Amino acid sequence: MNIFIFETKKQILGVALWTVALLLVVWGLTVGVYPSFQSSISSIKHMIESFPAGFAAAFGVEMSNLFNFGGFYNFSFGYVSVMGAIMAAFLGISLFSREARSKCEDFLLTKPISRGTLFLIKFVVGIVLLCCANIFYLIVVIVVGSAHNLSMFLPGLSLLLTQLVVYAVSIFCAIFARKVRSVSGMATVIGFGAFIISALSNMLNEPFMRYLDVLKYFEPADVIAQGHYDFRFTFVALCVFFAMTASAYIRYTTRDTRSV
Amino acid sequence: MNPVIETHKLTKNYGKSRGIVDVDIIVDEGEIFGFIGPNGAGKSTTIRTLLSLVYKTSGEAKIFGLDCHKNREEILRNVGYLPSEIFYYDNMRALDLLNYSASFYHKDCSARITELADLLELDLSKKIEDMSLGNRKKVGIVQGLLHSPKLIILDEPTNGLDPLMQKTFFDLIQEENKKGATVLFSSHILDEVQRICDRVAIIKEGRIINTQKITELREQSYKKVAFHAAQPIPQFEIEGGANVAINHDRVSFVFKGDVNALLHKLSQYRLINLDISEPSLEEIFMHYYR
Repeated sequence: MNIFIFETKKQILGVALWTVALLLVVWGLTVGVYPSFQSSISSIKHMIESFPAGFAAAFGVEMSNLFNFGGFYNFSFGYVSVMGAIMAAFLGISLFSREARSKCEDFLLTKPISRGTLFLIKFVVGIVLLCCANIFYLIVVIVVGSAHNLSMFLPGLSLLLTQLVVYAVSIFCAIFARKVRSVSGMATVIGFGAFIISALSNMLNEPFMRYLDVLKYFEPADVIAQGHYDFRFTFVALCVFFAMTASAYIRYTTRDTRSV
Repeated sequence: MNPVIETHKLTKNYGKSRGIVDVDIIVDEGEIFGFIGPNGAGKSTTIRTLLSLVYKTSGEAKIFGLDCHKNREEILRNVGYLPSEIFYYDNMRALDLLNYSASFYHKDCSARITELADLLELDLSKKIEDMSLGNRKKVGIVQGLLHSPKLIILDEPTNGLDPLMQKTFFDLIQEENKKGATVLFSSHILDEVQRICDRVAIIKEGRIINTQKITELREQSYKKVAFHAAQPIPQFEIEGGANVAINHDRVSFVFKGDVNALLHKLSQYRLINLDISEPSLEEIFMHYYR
């Protein structure tokens, strides 16, 4: 419990700031931008049609449903998910590289607690903080969605599920990286890396690219259209999550600690 | 006596670089055991293997009769470790760090923390990153001793401590030893080891080359010989001689062997001055490193 409290205290401010930023963005887009977006449908359509097709696709613009709330939320999610991915990556890297960055692995790893337990506690801290942040996110999304007579629980849950996958990837990166110089730098690379893959996937429209597109595994459009997530991508997401977490766990519990 | 630390052919291979090879040491309960060797000889690797910070390649390592890897948590409950380089979490006050450290042992260590901090003249309210090397070392000492461990492992512990604080530290370690703690003291400074240790293991290039009582090491009838001759001496060799240093007409060396042979050899020169004395432990030690 001592490690749980210690790690939570260290992370809570960062998570709170990210949560506020996420809430402001999703609130701003769905409550601030969407009404004016709807009131200028023809001029926006005209503007988007003047873009090259690949360009619009790269930015997640889907003309067929862009002007209803579900479609607009799906479009907004493309950007919210990048922020969420950076937040999750920041959390994972920060939790799992703290001792290496502070050169104090010797301190923690000579305490009477197994490395496996240490890993699990840190892992749970991240999950709990992401869940807490997403409770607030879900409340906002559900409240906004109810104004448009749309059930937003599952589409809103997409952020948490996407963040969990990115969290696992970031833990993997933090543990396997030779050195983590900057948590924010590495988290930004992971977040924008995921965004670039997503943009390429949109542009190229190659089916296999979708399997690499972490930000689209739980695409809200799927839930809004079908009432459930796409099973193939849910399965891929589960595989990525467990494979990354298991490899990171094995590495964390068996590696030699570097001397300073 | 029960061995507290016992290694048998303990080997750690880092791939391309050498770690330790076939290290055999036995540290008995209640003794202060010195572990000496120059930087890079394998002292820290041995300690890190004992603490499961790195995993052995082969051999056996036991503490309190338990396997260091399999029974890691049980062993670490009763081990205090002071690493050679002190690093802790950023942006943390000494007291917070020490309370966090104490929380792993499930006992109230607050009185002991205050007692040790007072003894070492350590301000616990300061942030660790704002502290000097010496004060960070003091935090490390308190952190290593706050739970009154049965085994204290010290890796180059006096680095950064001023001479007065070194004396306080040695007194503290000897006090812990009197209370029953066993101490493994790693250092490259022989004077320190000589000061408090009962026995010493000498490690060279990853291998233990000798384990002896400090008193025996000194009593091995090594002699430090220095003479000034009337003529230049281009080269000097004698059976049992080591660390021979020639400076024009002056020669010095450490000698262990037949004294008559030494006198016979010296009689071949016309001497201006001759000095035969007890060598320092440092000089004896250098003999092993030739």
